[in-house]
Amino acid sequence: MNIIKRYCLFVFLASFVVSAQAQNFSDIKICVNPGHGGYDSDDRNVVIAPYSSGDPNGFWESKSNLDKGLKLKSMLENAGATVIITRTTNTTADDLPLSQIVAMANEANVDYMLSIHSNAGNGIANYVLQLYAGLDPNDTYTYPTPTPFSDESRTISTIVAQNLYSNQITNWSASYAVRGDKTFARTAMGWSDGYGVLRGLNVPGAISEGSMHDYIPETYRLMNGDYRWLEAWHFFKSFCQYFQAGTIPTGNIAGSIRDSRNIIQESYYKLKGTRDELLPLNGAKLTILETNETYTTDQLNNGVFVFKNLAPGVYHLKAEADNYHEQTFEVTVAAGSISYQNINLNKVRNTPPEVISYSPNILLPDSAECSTDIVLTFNWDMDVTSTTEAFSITPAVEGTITFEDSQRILRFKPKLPLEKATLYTVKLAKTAKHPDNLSMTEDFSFQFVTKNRNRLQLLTSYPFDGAKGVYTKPMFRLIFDRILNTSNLQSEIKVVDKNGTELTKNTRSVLNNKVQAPYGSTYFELSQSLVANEDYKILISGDVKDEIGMPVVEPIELNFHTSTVLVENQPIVEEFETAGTYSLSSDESIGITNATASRNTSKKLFGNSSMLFSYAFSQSDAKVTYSTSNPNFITGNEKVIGLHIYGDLSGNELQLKFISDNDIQYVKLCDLNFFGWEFAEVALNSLPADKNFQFTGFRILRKNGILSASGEVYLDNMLLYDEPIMSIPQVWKNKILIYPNPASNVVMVKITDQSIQHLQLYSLEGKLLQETKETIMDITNVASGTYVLKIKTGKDIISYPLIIVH
Amino acid sequence: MKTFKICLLGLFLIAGSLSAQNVNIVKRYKVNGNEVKGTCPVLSPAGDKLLFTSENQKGLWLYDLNTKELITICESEGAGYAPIFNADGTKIFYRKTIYQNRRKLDAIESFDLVKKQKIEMISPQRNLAHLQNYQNGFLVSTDRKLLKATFGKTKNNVPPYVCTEDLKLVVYANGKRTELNPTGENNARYIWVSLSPDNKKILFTVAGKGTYVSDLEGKITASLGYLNAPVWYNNDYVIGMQDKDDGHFITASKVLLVSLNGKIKMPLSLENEIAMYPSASSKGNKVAYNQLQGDIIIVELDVKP
Repeated sequence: MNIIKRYCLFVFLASFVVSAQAQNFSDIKICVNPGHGGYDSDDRNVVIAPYSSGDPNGFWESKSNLDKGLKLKSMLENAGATVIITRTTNTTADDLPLSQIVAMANEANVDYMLSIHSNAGNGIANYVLQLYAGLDPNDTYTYPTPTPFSDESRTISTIVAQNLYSNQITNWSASYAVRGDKTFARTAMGWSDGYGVLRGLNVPGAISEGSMHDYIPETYRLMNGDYRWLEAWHFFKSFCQYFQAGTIPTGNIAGSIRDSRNIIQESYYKLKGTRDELLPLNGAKLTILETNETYTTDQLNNGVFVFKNLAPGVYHLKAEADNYHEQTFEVTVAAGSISYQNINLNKVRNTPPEVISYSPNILLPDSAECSTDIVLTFNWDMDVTSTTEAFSITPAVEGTITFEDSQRILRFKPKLPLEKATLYTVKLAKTAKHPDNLSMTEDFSFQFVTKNRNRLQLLTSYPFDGAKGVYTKPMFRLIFDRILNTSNLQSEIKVVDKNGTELTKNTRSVLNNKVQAPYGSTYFELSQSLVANEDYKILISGDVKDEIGMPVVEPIELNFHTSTVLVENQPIVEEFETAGTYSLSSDESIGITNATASRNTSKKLFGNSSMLFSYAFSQSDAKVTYSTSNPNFITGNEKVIGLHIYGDLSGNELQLKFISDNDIQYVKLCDLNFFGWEFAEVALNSLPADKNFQFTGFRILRKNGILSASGEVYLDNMLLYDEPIMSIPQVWKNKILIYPNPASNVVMVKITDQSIQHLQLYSLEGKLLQETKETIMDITNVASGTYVLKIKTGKDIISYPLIIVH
Repeated sequence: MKTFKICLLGLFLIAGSLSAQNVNIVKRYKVNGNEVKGTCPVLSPAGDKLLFTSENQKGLWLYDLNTKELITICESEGAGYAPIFNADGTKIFYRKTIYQNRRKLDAIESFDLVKKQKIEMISPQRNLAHLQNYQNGFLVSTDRKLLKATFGKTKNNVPPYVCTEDLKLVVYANGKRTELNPTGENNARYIWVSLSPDNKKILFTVAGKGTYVSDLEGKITASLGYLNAPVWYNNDYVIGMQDKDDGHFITASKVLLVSLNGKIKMPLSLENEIAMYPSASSKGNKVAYNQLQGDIIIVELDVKP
């Protein structure tokens, strides 16, 4: 009964409104210029589904502009205005030269010229831009040709901008802008002569860029003719205001109708946190109950609806869509305005929620990675609160729950990797419900077992923690137990100086995952040299991950100390300058696929060259010997030999070969557990006394490091002198024998002149892992990685890096 | 009124090197001086004086090509839109645009170059069409009525007056107003209409179609193709511009001389300039145009009959 009364009232009001003619444009003449024309390359085709590129039925700015222009023309003429429209078809022939458009406005003596356009903003912006003929008020630039500032153009452009910006169906990325066209063209477009359609114009005029047609939600809206009508109506209202031509006697109801929770799945950009993310409802039906006027939304993914030219009053708007709960809204319409009613409908969910899939879905004896997320997928979008409360995992795991795909997917992300080799039980209690308040009919649960690995491990590095003689131009090499995810390596692995200042990497030097799978690696150099004799650190964040997302978790800090490496004040016995002086000694080599010695000019510290010794082993107990054809010094066991070595991080052992008559002796110089230049020395006191030995070459013994199979070692200036010149740790290196290193099952330690009291094995983070009073330590149960072995003697405590590989 | 003495730099570029049958370019030079920058130049009948305006036709300045004197005629809005000289070049007639209640009205003023005197000849009107030289004054239509405004006694032999009214081509002749539609196109929009020096032909452009010449009855006698802002050089030649744009900006434009018989189409501007809005003086053998960035160029021609 009430609705009938209201309807009668509306019939009366509507008839009154129709008969009223409040506007008077009878003496106003306006030029409407729908920008562009045709379906050509400059007519701004934006490709949106279901249309292909170039399809005239799709979005074209030229077509959209024309439709707005024709609608505006109709409104103005109905109000008595004279309208000069510069084109009436969307054809190339009607795409007039700008000079002709200007001439038409001038010769017709119009009171205002409006050039209708839409804009482009790289698909991520949407705002109103009005460009009036002239300059910004604060523009002090001296233009080649003066342009008088147009107050009138600016005034009406501001009115237009404000009205367009009042549109609440769209979502704006920024407020409106009103700019002088010459200032804007110069500052934004790099064109100092302004826009052609405003040059030579002798009446107020502007270009209206009403919205951004390449912001895809707006593209879809602009495909709706009634949405374009709203823009034309805003122009019309602006003219009513500017020319004081009276108030529009009717009002309008407009809005868009969308799903209340489900979001658009297509990947095109939507402004975050706006209704543009929500799914628009195609084919939804809106009804004004008082008049029975209906509006059905189109199939073009915009949800737009418009009821035009309504008598002022209170209306009731019913919104319906298939599989959605209908809603009715009370809307008050005022003259000369648009009453916006954006509607979010709730979907009808008429069956209980259930889990339709889950992850990890791995049955024994298979197991899941410890880095896995727990994912539940539902048949309906779920109520966040009840579903979150219903979730549990045993043993308890700290983590966060998020929802995806419009609340259809629950994702539990553990804060840390799960425990190794552990049976987990995931449960979702039946109290989980969807927004229509239906709960699950029964509890849901599943189990899985994790693998025996829950950290990404650093196996070896150069510089290693505690390295002392690191060259000032180090080649950083970090090797992990799995292929790395490289997305965050640049930011999560840093080198800092003693003040904590990060040093810049040379990005062109970065090489990732160059070691053989399954290992992972990152190699890099710094942009600038380090300072000699300073402390530095490599910081490896806990967020460094491998390819399956397993993180390091506990940050790693590798301390190292730099050195000039170059030793120049001792007698030189070999300069490595002459080609052909070293060659493979096949008789003294075992298990090699190839090995060469060659003069090298690219990596050198002294003179013109170094000597490159390259090798590739085919078996585990391999060794390669290089002999010199020019044995050039003889020494006794009281001497010290020093050598500049460009290491290959293979972990293999470099030895010196000496001969005295038939007595062949090998002296260990160093382990090749570094990359790049270092200086190593060895006292020859292991040689038999009272004999002179001739140096005859080098030998490399394969160890069991992960990089031991092949390598390239460069040698430069070898020195022979009387007293060791290196620091105490280096001296210790010559007295301590730790083998094997890298080690797998046991590690043994020998010291030449002291007794060992005990051995302690520490993690790189300083955690004591195990200790023994023996000189042999069982490391079978220690995970692969780099550790610190502390050796306590009667006099000293010495720390030494130990690589464990299983 | 402010008077400037400035120099005219005779920038001799090309003399006689370009020729199209009986048309030769004798000289091309830029009118010198930073003050002489603007658009829409208008040459006096003798070609010795030059009117120009700002980009939006606000203000009007006169430059004497002989004395190199610059005179500010007016700083009003609309003053630079299609001003004309009288026949002997001693008077200028120009409009003065005002807005009443945001409606555009145009008055017509005269400026006597000898007496340096301004007179309002027509009070502000709506829909004032463009001016056409007539004796010592001008003809103009407003709201479908032809007005005559002259100094001194007006003779009875009023020539035809052609103009556009709401983009329709209109001829006032023998006391009668006639709307012509020479191309016969529905909704044809006519711009840049003018009467030939011998008062027998009409030059006009149809937006989106091209530029034509017709007789006074609207019978097309010459089709000149794409030629914007055309003006008569003499009864046989027309000067116009071929401008290009990308929908936003003017990207190129050249000024051409075109013969009505279709035999001559000769560029008068250089390839590397954006040349627009020409004006012509056949008596002075000159064409003037502006470059997009405001320099004004004079081209002197040798046109043999």
